[in-house]
Amino acid sequence: MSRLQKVEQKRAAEAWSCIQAVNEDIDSPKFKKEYRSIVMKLPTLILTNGLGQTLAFLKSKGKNDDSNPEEKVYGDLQGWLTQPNVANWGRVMHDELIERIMAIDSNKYRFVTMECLSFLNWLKRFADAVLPKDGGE
Amino acid sequence: MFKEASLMFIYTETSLHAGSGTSLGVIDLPIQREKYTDYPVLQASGIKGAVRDWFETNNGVENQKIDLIFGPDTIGRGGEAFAGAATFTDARLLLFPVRSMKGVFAYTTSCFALNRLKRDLTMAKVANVNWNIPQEPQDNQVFGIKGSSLCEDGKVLLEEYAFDFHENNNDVKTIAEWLANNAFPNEYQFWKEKIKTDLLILPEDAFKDFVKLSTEVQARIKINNDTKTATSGALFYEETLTSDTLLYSIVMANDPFKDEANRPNGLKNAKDIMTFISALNGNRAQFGGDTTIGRGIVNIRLLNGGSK
Repeated sequence: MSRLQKVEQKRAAEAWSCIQAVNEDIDSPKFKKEYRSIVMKLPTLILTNGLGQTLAFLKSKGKNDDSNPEEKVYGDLQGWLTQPNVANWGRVMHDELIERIMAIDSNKYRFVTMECLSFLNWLKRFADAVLPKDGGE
Repeated sequence: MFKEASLMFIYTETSLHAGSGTSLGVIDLPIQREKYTDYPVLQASGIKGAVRDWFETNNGVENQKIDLIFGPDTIGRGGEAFAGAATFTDARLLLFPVRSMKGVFAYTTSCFALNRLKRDLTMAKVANVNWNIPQEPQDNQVFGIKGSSLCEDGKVLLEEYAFDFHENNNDVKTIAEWLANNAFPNEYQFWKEKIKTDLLILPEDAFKDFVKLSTEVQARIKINNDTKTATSGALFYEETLTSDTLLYSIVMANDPFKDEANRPNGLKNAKDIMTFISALNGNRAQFGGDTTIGRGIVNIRLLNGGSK
């Protein structure tokens, strides 16, 4: 049990620091609202379209520009999933999350999907708790 | 324990939502799952209630018979408590449909699910089990049937996962034929033919991930009548088991626990009880929630076991 609890705690801590960074270091309320709304719908996007498609979607909206909330969400997911001891990437050691996703086999892919969903549970919870709400929800 | 036993195969014709309440996870209204496998499951209490309801509405039988079989529902209102004569177990998952690049969908299962079925068949004393279960496929292999429409160049693509297709295992074919003959509803000609080519045995972890990640998740909203747009704050996500899933529950019967002297004709003993329940065979019932949006219509096939 203890190791499991540690993983869950690590996820929570990482998610909390991601949300704090958005909440405290960024001034734009629009950015915060958008970040929150992306995180809220992300798990469902992954369940319906798969992890690869969802990350590609974030990339296409993010355009490698940190002022886009999609890029920030992508960066936060990458930050967690590429940490040592979170997922076993085997020989795939690219820097980019999306490149790693494209290079792994089905088993690892499913494992990373599950890990990503577990992490998003926390991220979603904290985003909902801390960040301002968009009017349309 | 019991005097008569049968296997009740439950084939979903519409998506089925046997809900487990609310959750903190991705989905607001998840389905019931086994704690130790995370496989979808239908709780026995829900099955018993749905079957009772079916008899109450379709058979027009008087309450005394229903009470003898399912137990009284008047405890606390002066009625005397006694146990019903029929027993239902939680319905276990056997076949789970997964989208396939070729051949629309595959009936998937795992060695664990099959071994559990075999154990349950032994428990219910079903005699004609003529199949063996192969060893678990390795990492990225699946065991299928020669001539399957799912396979392209030795590969099977399920959702977005590629597997190596192995067809040199005759066990899968035998299992598929047994299921077509014993578990699928009688009129299911098309589906019987389909399973005879499109059954796959997956590695344990792959199957477990599919039954976790490939259920149906639907967004539900509320429309504001004045503006005809979605009301804010009323969005929720609901999970269902897809159509074309096969589950099974074990039905057991005892002699009625009451009224030994004046039991009605046709309900004297366990055999009678089982005969009575057999009226379900080949019929449709409604299991789980969301009745009014067409969920949970299932087709039932009973496979008679032995008696003690």
